[in-house]
Amino acid sequence: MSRVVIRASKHPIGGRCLPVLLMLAALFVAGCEGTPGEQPDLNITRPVSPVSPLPTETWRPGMVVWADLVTPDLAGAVEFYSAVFDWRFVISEDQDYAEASYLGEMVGSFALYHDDAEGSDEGRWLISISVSNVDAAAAEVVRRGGEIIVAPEDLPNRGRYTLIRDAEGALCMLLRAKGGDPAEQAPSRHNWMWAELFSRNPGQAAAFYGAVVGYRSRQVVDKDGAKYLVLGLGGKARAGVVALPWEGVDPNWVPCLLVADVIETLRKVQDHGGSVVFAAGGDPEYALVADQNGAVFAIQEREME
Amino acid sequence: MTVRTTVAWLTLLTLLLLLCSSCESGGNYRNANYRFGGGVSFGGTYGGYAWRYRPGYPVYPGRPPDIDLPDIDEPIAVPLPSMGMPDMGGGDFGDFD
Repeated sequence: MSRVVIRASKHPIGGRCLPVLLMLAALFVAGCEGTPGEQPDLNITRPVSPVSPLPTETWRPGMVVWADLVTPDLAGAVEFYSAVFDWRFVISEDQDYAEASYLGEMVGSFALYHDDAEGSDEGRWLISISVSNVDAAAAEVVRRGGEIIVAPEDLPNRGRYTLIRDAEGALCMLLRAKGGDPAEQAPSRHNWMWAELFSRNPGQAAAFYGAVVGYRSRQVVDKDGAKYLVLGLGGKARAGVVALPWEGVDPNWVPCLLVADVIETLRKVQDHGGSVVFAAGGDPEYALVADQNGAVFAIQEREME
Repeated sequence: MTVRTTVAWLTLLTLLLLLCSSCESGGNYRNANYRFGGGVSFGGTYGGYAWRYRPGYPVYPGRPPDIDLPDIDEPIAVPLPSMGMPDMGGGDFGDFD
């Protein structure tokens, strides 16, 4: 659902232009159906969407159910993610909120945010983790040395949420989604496939989220023999914890997008004003990148079942 | 321009306007309640150097020449941790019940 601005033609209208006009009409109708890569519309008013397009009435504590980008440059972010990932957007009339989708599937939302207090112009991705009881989880956050940034409150259509800073300073949202969490499904391209907490102390972080969310933690060994700490609940692995290897970088949650080709995506990221934060050598299957405003996220290529 | 042509154009323009109006649906709720901070400062940097690359993993030893990466100041003798969703080679992650 988007509105296309059709500029006035300099050419006189005449019978010979009818096919052109009909073609324009056809293109317009196609645009309404959601063609990836189309220029974003900045004039649509739309409600905040639920995390699941259809009510599931099933909640999956521990599942990462949503991702929000808070950015001081929403229009720039829309342009960046449209160009790099072919995401499509609907944007609020005030141009302070947008929701992104790829091939009809919701990806997340963008919110305009100016942090004048800190004078920062960096964007930031925030994940939302499903919890059974937001208020109880928030209380546990405080007991475990974390901080409540936004006290539990209800967001129409989205559900009850709280924004927290964990004991190490990483930000995330805890959400009890209205209508239920999304159904389990294999990750799809240009959508979120995983989330990682970069932590100074993975063991303590696992204990923190174990108490707040109910996660069980398990160190797994992948097919190459590498060890990795996984958080899971309800029989499902939901996120990973990585020991932060860099000095001067604070602990953070980082959502990870599934891409078909990391190298090609890195080129696109740079071509559109983003930057490569980290990428392994050779033919990387994983990289950390930043968008045009410094919001960091990961990309990973993987054959998904 | 004949009267017939004019009528045809007006009909098409009306059709276009109808299409426009049908594509503008979406309700009139505005995200006034959608806020993250409410005056509470939570944004800002990710740390002293944010996520800007700091020294110094041997990243990208074989990187394509057109990928622009920051200079590496010095290597760090810390093994690189595994990052990204683990590939369990077809197996699952184990029991999280």
